[in-house]
Amino acid sequence: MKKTWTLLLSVLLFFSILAALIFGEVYVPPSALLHPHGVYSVILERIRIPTVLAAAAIGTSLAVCGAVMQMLLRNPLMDPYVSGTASGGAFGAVLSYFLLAFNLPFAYLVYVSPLIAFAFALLSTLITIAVGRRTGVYGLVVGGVVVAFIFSSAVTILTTLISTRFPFVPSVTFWLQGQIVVVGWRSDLGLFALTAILVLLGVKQARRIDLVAISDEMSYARGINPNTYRYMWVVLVSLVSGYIVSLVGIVGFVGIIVPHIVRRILGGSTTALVPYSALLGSPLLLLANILSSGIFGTVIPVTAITSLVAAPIIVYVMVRGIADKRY
Amino acid sequence: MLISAISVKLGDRLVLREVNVEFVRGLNVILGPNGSGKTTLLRCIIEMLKPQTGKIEVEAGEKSYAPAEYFGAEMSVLDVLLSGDSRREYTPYLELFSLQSFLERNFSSLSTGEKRMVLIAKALAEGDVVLMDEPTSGLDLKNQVKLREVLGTIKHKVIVVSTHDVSFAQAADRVALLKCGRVIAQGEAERVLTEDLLTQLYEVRVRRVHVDGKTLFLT
Repeated sequence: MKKTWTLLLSVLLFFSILAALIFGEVYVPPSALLHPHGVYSVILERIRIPTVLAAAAIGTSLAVCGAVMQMLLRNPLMDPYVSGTASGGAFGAVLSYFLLAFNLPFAYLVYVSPLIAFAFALLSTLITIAVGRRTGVYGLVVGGVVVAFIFSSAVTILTTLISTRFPFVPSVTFWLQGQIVVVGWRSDLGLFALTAILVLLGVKQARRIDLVAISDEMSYARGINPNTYRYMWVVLVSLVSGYIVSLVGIVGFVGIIVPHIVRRILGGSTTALVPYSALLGSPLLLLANILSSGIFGTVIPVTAITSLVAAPIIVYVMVRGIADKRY
Repeated sequence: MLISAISVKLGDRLVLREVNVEFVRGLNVILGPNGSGKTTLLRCIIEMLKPQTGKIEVEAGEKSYAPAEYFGAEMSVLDVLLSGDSRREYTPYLELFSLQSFLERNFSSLSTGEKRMVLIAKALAEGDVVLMDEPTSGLDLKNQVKLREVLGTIKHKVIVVSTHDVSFAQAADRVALLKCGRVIAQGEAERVLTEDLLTQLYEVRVRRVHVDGKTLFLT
């Protein structure tokens, strides 16, 4: 079962990377992939390849973040978007542009923007947990949505304010709906490092995450303080989400869609959720990104695509009452 | 295990007051009405709660816990057993409770009693000091009897069970009666489970009768 799915998902990943290299704002014919020449070699080397790799890593990271959050917070509807983490991160990233007003050099943004995004991603997640902790499964979702609203409003206000002074600041839709259009090699390095840490730690800690999901008492008896453990992961998830948001804006719902599919097919243990979400997250986001970046003749924010896929899943989870398994 | 003079305050309420109690190898039962502080005492032993005063000395070895409430996660029973990575031998305890055929089943789809038996088997396999919070709730009569028999035979582990079920306490090597956060009596089952003490404990008249060589408690 697992071997078959590993093979199937690997094939899917291969073809989705291939498709993502071909389709985009500029169509790169398959022959040019094998023998890049002229303008195609520039597009591939400078833009297409690093961007496709970034999208793959982002898909993996978001899916794994969602899977881990769902286990630790005992809620199948959690992901970095629903928890408000991404919106906080977006606010932080926009805020870092605001600092340009203090005449800091533009180049500093590459380093400072992810850090500020991380700080606000962490802050927003902690607020959500504080709001939702004592109110059960739906409290956490409602808390996250409210936090997301607040930070999204703040992003809208801030971008509107600074757009007149700094026309190079990406538009509101970029930050709130995500677009994976151009990501450079330098950003890829950080992304790969974070993705690798996230996936390796997730696989290594899978049995412990399972235990914390089942019971706080059982965790304490095993010598794991479940609250400290949750916060450790919240910090890592915020770090990863903050970095991603600072690069491509908010990409929502990948963390809900992917673990949900994996759970239906391979069961809900973290030992399956993390590796298979990692493997399915990439092709899912790559395919969504092909739809969003130019195949319809214009760029559509990628969250507009992913939310269409996520909506029926969220309804399904709510109608079947999976989210209401109270503890 | 020696618990000396621990007091626990949760919010404004003093849940445990100067509790002194000793648990031995074999089966120990904390017997008491709802809200008497049984769960709080167990949570102190796993260091989930820190007592304001007093100390707890626990035997060396792994601790394990079968909780009264837990999350019915959507994973196989095998994954539930392996969670926490304790790497112990589960088979003998699964066999004791006839759970071998459950391994591939989805934990969340099991009945309340079945889930509880799985968590009890896990706790017994993993711990040298095994704590169980209301393990008989949700179990049918057959499984209650089975559990009492099994726990009564394990003498190499310190097993501490909280319950309000008097008949369960009969199988214990040692019983502590807990009322309003105070231990009102402790010692061998035969000596502690008297009509007077139980009446005092539950505030209803308890009578002890003998039928067919068995002791029954009636109200």
